[in-house]
Amino acid sequence: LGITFESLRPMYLRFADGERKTVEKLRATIIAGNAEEARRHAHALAGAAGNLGADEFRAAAKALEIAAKEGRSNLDDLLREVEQRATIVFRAIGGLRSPVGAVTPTQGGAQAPVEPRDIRRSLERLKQALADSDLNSSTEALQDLAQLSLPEPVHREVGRLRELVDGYEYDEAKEIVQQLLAGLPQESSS
Amino acid sequence: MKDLSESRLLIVDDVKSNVDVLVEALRDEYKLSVALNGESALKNAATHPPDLILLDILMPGIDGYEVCRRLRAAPATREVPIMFLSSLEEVSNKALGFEVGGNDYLTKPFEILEVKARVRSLLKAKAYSDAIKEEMASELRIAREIQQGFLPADYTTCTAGTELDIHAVLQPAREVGGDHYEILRTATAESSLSWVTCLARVSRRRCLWPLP
Repeated sequence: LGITFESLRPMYLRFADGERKTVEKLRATIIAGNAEEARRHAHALAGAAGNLGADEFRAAAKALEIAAKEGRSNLDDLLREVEQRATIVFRAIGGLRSPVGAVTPTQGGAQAPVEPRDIRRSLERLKQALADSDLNSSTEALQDLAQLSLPEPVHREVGRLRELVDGYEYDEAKEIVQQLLAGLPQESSS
Repeated sequence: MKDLSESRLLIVDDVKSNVDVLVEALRDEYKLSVALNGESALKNAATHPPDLILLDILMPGIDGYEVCRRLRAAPATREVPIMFLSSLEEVSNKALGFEVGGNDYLTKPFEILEVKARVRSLLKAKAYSDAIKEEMASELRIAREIQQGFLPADYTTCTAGTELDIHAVLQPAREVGGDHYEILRTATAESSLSWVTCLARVSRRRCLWPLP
C-alpha cells in the first residue's frame, strides 16, 4: 500500500493516544445517559479502529453505536466489551513505543549563525502554509526552520509547532508563529 | 490537461488517526490540506478551492452533509468533486450523501487502494471537465479577437460627406452573441440623434435616447 512500518508506527501511537480519550468520553456519556453523544463517540471509535485493522475493537464499538442509535437504555455490557477490546489493542500498540519515550523535536542542525531575516522568511512561509492548512508546505517550512541554528526559545517553540502541525492543529500553530514573528527584531531599512 | 500530481486534496475528518491513514496513503501523490472540522473545511475551501474533498460525515459542529450543501451553494466550490468517507453504512446515509451533492461515497473501514483508485478517477474526470471548459474559453477569446478585427476604429471614413459626427469605442462582448450597444446623449446631440439604428445580435441593449 506504500505505507512503511516507520510511517505506521506513529499512526498507531496517535490512534492509541487519541482513542484512549475517546473511550473515556464514551464511558462518561453513557454514565450521564447521553445516548446521542455515546453514539457519536462509538461511531468515531469504530471508524478509526476499522481503518487500522483492529477488527474486534471495531465490531464492539459498532455494536454500541447501533444500540445507542436504537435507543437501548442499558449500554453497560457493550461498553465493557469496547473497553476490553480497547485495552488489548492499546496494550499491543504500547509495545511499539520507543524505550526512550516521547519523540523529541529535531535539534537545529546547521552551525552557521542565523540572521533574524532568515528566521522571519521561514516563519512567513510557514504562516502562509498554515493559513491554507497546507500540509506539504507546512512540513517543508518547518524543515527549513529546523535547518537553522535557532536561539533556544525559538527552537523550543519550533518543536511545539512541529507537534501541532503533525496533529493538524493549524490555527493554534498560526498563533505561535504570529508570536514568534512579533518577537523578532525589526529589520533595519538601510 | 492538468497534471494530477499538481492536484490539491482537502481531507476533512475530526478523528486524527483517520486523517493519518489518508495522509500517509496520499501525501506522495498529491498536495494535501487538512481540516479537523466542518467550519475549518468551509473556510479553507473558500479561500483556496481544492481539486477534491474527502469528507467525513459525523463531526462535531457542522456535519459533512451540511458542509457539502454549503460548498455546492458557493460558486467557487460548486464543481469541486466531493467524496464522502464515513462509517455510516446505511443506504439512506449514502443516498443523502449523493442528494446533497456528493460525487462518491465510501464506507469505513476503507481499503487504501480503493480510495486511491476513486480519488484518481474523480480527479481525472475533473481535469477533463476543466480542460473542456478552458478550450471553450480559449475559443471564445479567439472569436472575440476576430470580432474585434471587424469593428471600425476610425469613423471619419464612414461619415465623410455627411453631417454626422460619431465618436465611439466598440468592444466585442466577452461572450459570442452578447453585444451590448449603449448610446449616450451628449450636450449637443439631440438634433443629430434623430435616427439611430441598432443592428445587433444582442443579449442586452440599452439606448439612452435624447430626452425632451
